[in-house]
Amino acid sequence: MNDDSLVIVNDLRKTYRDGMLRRRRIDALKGVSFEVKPGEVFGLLGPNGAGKTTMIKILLGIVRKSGGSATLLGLPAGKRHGRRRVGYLPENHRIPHHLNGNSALEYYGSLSGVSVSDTKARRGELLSLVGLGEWGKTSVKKYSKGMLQRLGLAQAMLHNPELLILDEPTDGVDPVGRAEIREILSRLKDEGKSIFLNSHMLQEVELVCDRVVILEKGSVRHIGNVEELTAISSTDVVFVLEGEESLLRKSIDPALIASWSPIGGNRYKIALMLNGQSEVNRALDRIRAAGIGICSMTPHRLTLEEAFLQLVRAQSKRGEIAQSDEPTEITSFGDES
Amino acid sequence: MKAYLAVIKDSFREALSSRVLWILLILTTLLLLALAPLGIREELASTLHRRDIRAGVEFAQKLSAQGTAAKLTPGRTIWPMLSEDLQSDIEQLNAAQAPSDEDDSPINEFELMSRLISELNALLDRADFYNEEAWKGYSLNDEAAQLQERGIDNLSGKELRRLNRLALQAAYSTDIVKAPNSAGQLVYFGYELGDPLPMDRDQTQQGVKNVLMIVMSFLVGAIGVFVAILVSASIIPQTFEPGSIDLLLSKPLSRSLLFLTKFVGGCAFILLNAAYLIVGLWLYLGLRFDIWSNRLLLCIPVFLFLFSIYYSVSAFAGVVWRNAVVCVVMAILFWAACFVVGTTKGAIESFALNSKRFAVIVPAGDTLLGANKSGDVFQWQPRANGWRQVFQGQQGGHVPFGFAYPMVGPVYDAQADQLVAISSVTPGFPTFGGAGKLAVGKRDEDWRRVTGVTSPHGTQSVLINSDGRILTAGTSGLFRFEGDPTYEHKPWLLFGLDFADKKKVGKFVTIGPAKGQSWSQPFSAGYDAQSDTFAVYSRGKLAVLEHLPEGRFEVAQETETPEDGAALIATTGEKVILAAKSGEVLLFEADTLKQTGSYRPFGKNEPRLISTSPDGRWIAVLFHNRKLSLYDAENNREVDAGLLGQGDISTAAFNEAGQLLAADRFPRVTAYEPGSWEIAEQYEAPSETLELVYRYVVKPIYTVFPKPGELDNVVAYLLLEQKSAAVVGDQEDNLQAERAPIDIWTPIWSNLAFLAVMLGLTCLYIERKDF
Repeated sequence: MNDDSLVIVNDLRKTYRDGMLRRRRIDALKGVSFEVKPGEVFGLLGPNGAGKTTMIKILLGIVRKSGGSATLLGLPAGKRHGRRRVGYLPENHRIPHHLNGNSALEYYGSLSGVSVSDTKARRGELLSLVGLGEWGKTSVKKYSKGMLQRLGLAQAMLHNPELLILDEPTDGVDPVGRAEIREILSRLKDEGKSIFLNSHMLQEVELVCDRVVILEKGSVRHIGNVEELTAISSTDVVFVLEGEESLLRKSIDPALIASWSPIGGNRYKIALMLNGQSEVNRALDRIRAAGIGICSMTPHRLTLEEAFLQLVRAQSKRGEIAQSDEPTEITSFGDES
Repeated sequence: MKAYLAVIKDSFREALSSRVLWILLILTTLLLLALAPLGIREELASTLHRRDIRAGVEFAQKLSAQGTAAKLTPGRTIWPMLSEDLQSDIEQLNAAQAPSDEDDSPINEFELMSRLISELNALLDRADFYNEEAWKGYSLNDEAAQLQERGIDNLSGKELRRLNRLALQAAYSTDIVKAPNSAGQLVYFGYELGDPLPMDRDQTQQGVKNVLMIVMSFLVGAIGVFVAILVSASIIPQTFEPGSIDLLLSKPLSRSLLFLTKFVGGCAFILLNAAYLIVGLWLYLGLRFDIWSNRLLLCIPVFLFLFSIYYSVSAFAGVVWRNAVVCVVMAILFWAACFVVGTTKGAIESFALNSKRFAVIVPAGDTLLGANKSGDVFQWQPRANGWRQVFQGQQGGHVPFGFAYPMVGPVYDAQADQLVAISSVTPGFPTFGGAGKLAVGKRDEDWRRVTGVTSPHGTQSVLINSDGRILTAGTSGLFRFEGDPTYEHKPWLLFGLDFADKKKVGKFVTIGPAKGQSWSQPFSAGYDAQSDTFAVYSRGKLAVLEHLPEGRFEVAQETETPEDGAALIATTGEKVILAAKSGEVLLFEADTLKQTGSYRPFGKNEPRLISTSPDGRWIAVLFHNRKLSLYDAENNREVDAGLLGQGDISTAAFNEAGQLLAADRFPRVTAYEPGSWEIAEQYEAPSETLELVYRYVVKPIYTVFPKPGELDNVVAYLLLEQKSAAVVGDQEDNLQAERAPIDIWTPIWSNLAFLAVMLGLTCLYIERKDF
């Protein structure tokens, strides 16, 4: 573990208790460990009930940990000094209806220790940045969900925090808005800001995150670079072959064929599921031996979404077969998602 | 700190964005605008009111007698001016009057008096009402004399009425109360509303404050707080709902301080409303009535405090359940619980227990008697270990719930071994200021009450001198009873007239003060049998009256007192003790009436009773907070005697042996040895079930329960500056009358403790909760 890491989570555990006598145990986090380095955009992924929001709330001191350790900006998670240097956009946040864009920034800025004069100086620029430049004097009652998200993002950035923790920042935002938010995140990344991003929008995670951690049922399933993750299951190879169809079918093991589509003339686009380099070599030898022309050969890279689904489904299958003591799947309790 | 101030600022922003707030502010503005033209114009008092006539029937009879006599008297002038119908009805009343059948009179006295007063008021406008010749034997006061000198033709209508009113009271000084110097005429937009109120400036201001207290308690204390609870109910649940609290808790704030500042901010709504209304009323009172009472402004924090108590319950519910409806329901349930506890205690005290408290202790030689607040007299029965009711009779009976003590006395006449009292003719109506009857009960007749002659008007004290003669003192003077007080008059009726010999009934003869001297309320008299001297206090004047050889009492010394409000007085022969309504006890040398000392044992609490030991050394003053103060007149110092039941003592007296007797509970009388103040004896019957339930269940629950409703006491204290309030109206100048102590500190401490507990519990919950 690096001492300069912004977030260090080590064997972090959280158990909720439920029921009249609080005897029902729900393990939301079961020994999670990872770290977030300075200047990094770090993605937190996982299905519903994986423990992502619990993780963020523990880092901010909104929820207390049951075991393990967590530090935020070098301080134990939840410490007030640590929170002062963090900007947080909660999922489904609510801004009181008596406020407008300007007064909301004034209010949340004051809570973050920013003087009213500083807020007034910065709010125009910030609102413009999130696309609300014309909406500062409008009551938040009239804001759409996307506008509220943008305002939430503005308040999180207002005090120029070292770390931004964003929980579903593009939730409810239209595609154009999502692109704008992605752009803002990229700009912040370029400025050297660290971002801890929890999002269901895997495409945007893929686009902006340097590293991700995948949580499932309270445990870490994978941690690493996005490239590493998408490369893990990249065993498909797409060939464009030229030859008689009957010859092609004779030369290729049908068990390896993932897809087959004619593309005109005697050419076919064929995806083969090949497990390792030896299988690739073997397949190539057979195609060449049959005198089939190889127009192109492209290894297929999975999207993050595909890699995520593969990983989660594989873990689930393994869990169903082997794990009788697997954690209870959390579908809904408290604020956990 | 700035962050928390931002939370409070945001609360004000939220309150100001509330439509309900603006509706209430507009309604308040309309109320203040509607009130603005309402005022009281001070003018010369001239209207005759019903309460100005002490004994209506006797006054009417006097008018009738003078009116039909040949001699030129005021009555001879006034009588012909009355309508014939009224004259005829008064004459009928004269014919029907007899001691035995006054209750069966066919004439409606009330209606007759109303007509008489109405006609007299009309006559006061007439220039020929006052006739110098007719008034020859009566001296007009300086003011009337000055008006008369100016000449009737030169007087304005109001001045003429004033002159006629002064002339009327000069002619019938024993029947008609002196008119106050000024009266208050209610005016609205310059239009006069009703008759002028017989109140001077101070009384008017006091009356306005009384009305104001009711208005504020209702508008702010009840409606305002309820609306504020409804409006503010959603503030805490909204703050703690998911999405909102996450954002707030991610900021560098303390959870508890965040809640507490939100709580303080939640009071913004009531603060804005109450401040607007009360500052408006303050300005209105100042500009219209010249009452610049800064204490009125202190009502703003009091109402804020009242609201915060209910809001603490609402806020706790808001944090736990995050539902505004639950908050309102919990606040209402809390109010209901406080109401039930307070009402249960109040009802048991008022309707069952208070009337059992002793109002008077009567040490009677070897036995002990006491009269409870309902007027029932009891004698201690050592063998039965209980109290037995005695001194029962047909008249001057029981007053339910003890709201007004229906007697003066009783006192023990050692020489005749009898109880003597002035009992009210009409049970339930206080004797003070009205007519009563002499009542006597001899021990050898088992203290059976025998009711005799009518007592002088306004009798406030009944006393026994060293010769065993019955004396009375009141605003109409000092009187001695002549005759046999135990004689029972048995009427012999024929055609409605009583032909029995009434001479044996006896009568009260006046023994003071000298002619030309008169006393007025507030009044109090004390008597020392050994030196045979009276000490009298009358509206700021203190006098010692000595017994002249011819039997009368005349003023030997007179002095002005620092205050002219109500006071109680007692004398030991050497010293005169004056306990002022302000709570200060002043000591004077009886010979010179020079003040020798003063003390203030219980702040501004009003005194209720003074008792002195037979040797004059110990002075016991009981206050309306039910605490008894003891003073050593020999060493000029207050004594801490550690008396039982301080705060619950209802009366006290010294017996012949110098022991102090103090009554508390329902009742318990404790005798203390003088000097050592060790308990010599206790007189208490076994407690009844209700009393036990009250003492061990109701009172402990009440003690620990918050008392938001009792913050009205604080408002009353701030506005009226009184530590107790008269139970029966119109008794403000009578310190002996039952007064409810205004306890301001108990509700403040109890409510503060509750508020601290509720806020503490809520903070603890928030600190431990995972949001």
